[in-house]
Amino acid sequence: MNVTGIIQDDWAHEPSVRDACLHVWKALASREDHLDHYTFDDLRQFAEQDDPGVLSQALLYLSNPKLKVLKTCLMYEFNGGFLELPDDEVDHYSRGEEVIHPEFGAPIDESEILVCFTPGAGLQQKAAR
Amino acid sequence: MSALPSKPDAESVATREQVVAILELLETRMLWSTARPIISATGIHVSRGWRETLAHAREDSYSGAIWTSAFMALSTAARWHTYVGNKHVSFFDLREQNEDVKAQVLEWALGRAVDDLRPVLRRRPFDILDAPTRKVDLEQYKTSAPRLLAAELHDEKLYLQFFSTRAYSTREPLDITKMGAAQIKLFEDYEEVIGVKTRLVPCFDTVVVDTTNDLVEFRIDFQPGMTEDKNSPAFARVMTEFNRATTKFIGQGAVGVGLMNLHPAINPMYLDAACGRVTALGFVATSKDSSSNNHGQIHRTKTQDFRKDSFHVGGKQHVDKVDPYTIGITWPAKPPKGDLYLELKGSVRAIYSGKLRAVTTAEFLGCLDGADYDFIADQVLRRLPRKKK
Repeated sequence: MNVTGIIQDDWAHEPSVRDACLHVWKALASREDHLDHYTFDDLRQFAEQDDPGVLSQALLYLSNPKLKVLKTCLMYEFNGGFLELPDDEVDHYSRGEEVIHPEFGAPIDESEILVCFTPGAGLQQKAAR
Repeated sequence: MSALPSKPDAESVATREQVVAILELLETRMLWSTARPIISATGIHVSRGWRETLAHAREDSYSGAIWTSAFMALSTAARWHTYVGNKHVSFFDLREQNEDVKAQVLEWALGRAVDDLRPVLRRRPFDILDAPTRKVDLEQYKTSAPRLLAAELHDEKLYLQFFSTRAYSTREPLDITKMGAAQIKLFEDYEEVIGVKTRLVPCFDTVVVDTTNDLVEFRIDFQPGMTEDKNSPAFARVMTEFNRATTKFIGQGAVGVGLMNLHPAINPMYLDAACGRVTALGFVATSKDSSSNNHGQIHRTKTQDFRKDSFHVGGKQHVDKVDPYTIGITWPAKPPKGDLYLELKGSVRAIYSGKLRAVTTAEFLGCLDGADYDFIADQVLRRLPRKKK
């Protein structure tokens, strides 16, 4: 089954999430070139959905291991720049645990962490086909 | 600087307490990303971040041989770090002074300085590696002049190591919900409350008189990503102390004129594809009808080279001229060494007003020993015009 079919099946009973997922998938799949990062606001526009709860649910679903359309990317600040957190710190963040700043070696406050999305493996496979 | 001044005694046996003390000193000064592979190579357990790693070192059991070899490795790294790690570097060109003054400074540095300064060193408060790390112990040095801890001559360079403490501040959001009822009431109109935390850090500032190249270098400690107390600039305080010493022994301040402008090195570095990766760039792009300075913001990247990055190069094709005023260069290295980084930070104003093009400080990051430091310094100095010797 293709991605559109999987989304329609999984969210048949929640049309708002289903439509948000389908809009994001359609917008991303139709692009020839992808940005390095997509912000929450970019994806809100793709989803045509202003309810943050619905949008979060949709983005979380599109990032799951089944579809891998998106990959969650966390950024931290260092010396005037924003850099991606390494995967092991992302795992700690996902489990609700303390995140350690890779440069300072000290805990980072959650409000200091920026969340964005990168094109996931599922999207890259689609582009390769 | 091929040899490390004041090497620790290779015969001595070290204890856990000595290793923990060195780790505590490193924790105040060295980036975790730099320290982590160094600690790991000693065989001591490395956890996530300083806090857990220190907690393990205070409790884990190792043989005496491991503690001793760890102490040797960490104390060598810590001592090097005081001379070359995370430095704001300025150069004074002695060739810009008159011949007599230059000759007196060089003669003193090469011949008498170490002996002249010996009485001062007898009164030094501690050795470099025994520097205090706790706020309560550092407080007494907060307002005092930098203290001379070491004076040594190596390869015709005089190294003077000064100690002082500086305050760095960080901003942290405070959780209003954990406050008392009165405080919650006080902040009820605010969505967020930010607290400013001040941390005192032991700092080592090095003055090097390079008698071969007629230079005086100031290597001033800084903490990347932290805001320093601007009211007492370390550079001025160390320069005052150095000039006070030379005035006492040769009757005049050694430096004052001849502070080198590093700006002329920026464009040659940007154009030289063999000079590392350009990972930070501030520039003004000018085309026939318009120009852009990206609101004076510096572009930064961790892994790309702006000389090759499609975003930058693609844009570059559509303008007549790219005039960089700030450049950051990264030279990648393999572990346990980390990447070396140099930043020459100018002002966008310099591009618009030709008179203000002076960049007098270079940022050196990631140096672990004298060879690393000399490599970066050479990259800058070889691109600057100077009078012949």
